[in-house]
Amino acid sequence: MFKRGRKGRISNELVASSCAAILAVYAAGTWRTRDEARRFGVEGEVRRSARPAQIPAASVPAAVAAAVSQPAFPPPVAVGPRQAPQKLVKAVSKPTPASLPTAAVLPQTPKPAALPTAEPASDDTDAAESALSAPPSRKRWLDGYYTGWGTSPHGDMQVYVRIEDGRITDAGVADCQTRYPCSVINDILLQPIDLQGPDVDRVSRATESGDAYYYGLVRALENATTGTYKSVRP
Amino acid sequence: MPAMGTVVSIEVDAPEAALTRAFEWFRQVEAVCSRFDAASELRQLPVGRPVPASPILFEAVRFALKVAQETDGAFDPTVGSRMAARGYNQHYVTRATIDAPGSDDASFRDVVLDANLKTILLRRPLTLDLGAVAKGLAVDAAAHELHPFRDFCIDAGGDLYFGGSNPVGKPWRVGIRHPRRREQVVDHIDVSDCAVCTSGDYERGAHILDPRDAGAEPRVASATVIAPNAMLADALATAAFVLGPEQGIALLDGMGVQGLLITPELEQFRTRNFGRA
Repeated sequence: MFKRGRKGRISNELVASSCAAILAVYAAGTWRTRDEARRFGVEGEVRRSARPAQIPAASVPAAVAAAVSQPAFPPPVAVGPRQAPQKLVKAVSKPTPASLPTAAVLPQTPKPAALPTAEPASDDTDAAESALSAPPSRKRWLDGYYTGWGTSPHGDMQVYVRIEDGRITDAGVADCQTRYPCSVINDILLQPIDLQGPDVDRVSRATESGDAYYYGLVRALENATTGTYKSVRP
Repeated sequence: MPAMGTVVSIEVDAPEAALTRAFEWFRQVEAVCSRFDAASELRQLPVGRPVPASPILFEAVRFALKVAQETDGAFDPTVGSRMAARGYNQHYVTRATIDAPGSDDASFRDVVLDANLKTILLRRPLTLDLGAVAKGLAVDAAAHELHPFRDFCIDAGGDLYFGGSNPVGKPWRVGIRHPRRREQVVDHIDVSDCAVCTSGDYERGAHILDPRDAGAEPRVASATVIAPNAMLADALATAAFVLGPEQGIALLDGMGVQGLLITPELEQFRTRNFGRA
């Protein structure tokens, strides 16, 4: 009474129909999740505006410097041009425009806010000096291998960090599930080692993949802070 | 998350944003395919005039009609009005009673699709019930969304999808519930990257009717199907439930999927490949 497939095989026609339907719906549904994608875009914009790395130190008002030192994951060198190794900066973005992020905006950003911070400065002058000082000596992270997922409109990536003696000694992409190969961000993969933080440069023409890497780093370092989700490197 | 008349839960190690995207599929599919929502696209379909349909509605209807053809009408998405007449006519949230036009002799042959123009034509007044397809479709879309994370479980009240491995790195072990003793399982099966769907008479009563004979007494208490995706598994479980144990198992064997049917007398019927990986 009904069509039968070959013995032991799933009816190709019905399976193919269901798979085709799911793929068609999913492919067409990318616009349906665009609100989410936009949210990520906004986060990316927020992150961009919050980055202090390209701001000349001398031009930073003390009040702004204080605000810069308070976000959840300040790089050890919070103001002043970051001296990333030359081999790592081939494809990084242009410097942030001269318009400085205001103190009113900075406390709201960035979103993933959980990493340990430098001690709050007592006043503006101290804050600027604190922000310019060397990395804090206390261990911020527990030793181990940690991962975290970062998300972008193009897909997700699992980012890993290795912490040894409280410092980042290795970082990279453990699992790349973005529609573009993660090699597009090769130039920033090792920056966390130099930065001792997640605030990697943006990559021109791969900004969202770069942001996914950043968010993955943030989450991996969150795990390193508490020692949770410690993994064994595959 | 409540959706589609049940509670959807997802177990995965993934960013919250990815979870949000996965759950969003249930909202999207329900908004389009619900026969209980007067504002849904499904409820807006006119009679006698082909209208362009969204990808979700078109693909759900196309697959439902395909299963109807394959099962010679044992599965039929045009049973909406007959289901409403049986009392399945209230929105699960608002409790508002729905209007479900249609006659008892409407069938899937009264629904015409144009694959090129992506239009749907209802040749006569009828109410589509995509319940057995839409929930599976939402599960599958959510599973697609979570695929990058490999290991996950989606539970949408009888429609389950298991990706990868369980938290201890082994295939997911799924218990098949005893249709009469709530806390007891009759069997279990280890699965990975596939869907497990059960149609039974114990959660929502006799919510599955034989489209060919609305007065027929069901000869199955629960039908469980394991298939590559939830849309297929749910539709085949519904069809096997309607067909009864012998023909139901024959259908599932013919399709090459795994299945277990249990009668009200607790007799079990299994496909030849049941329990094989």
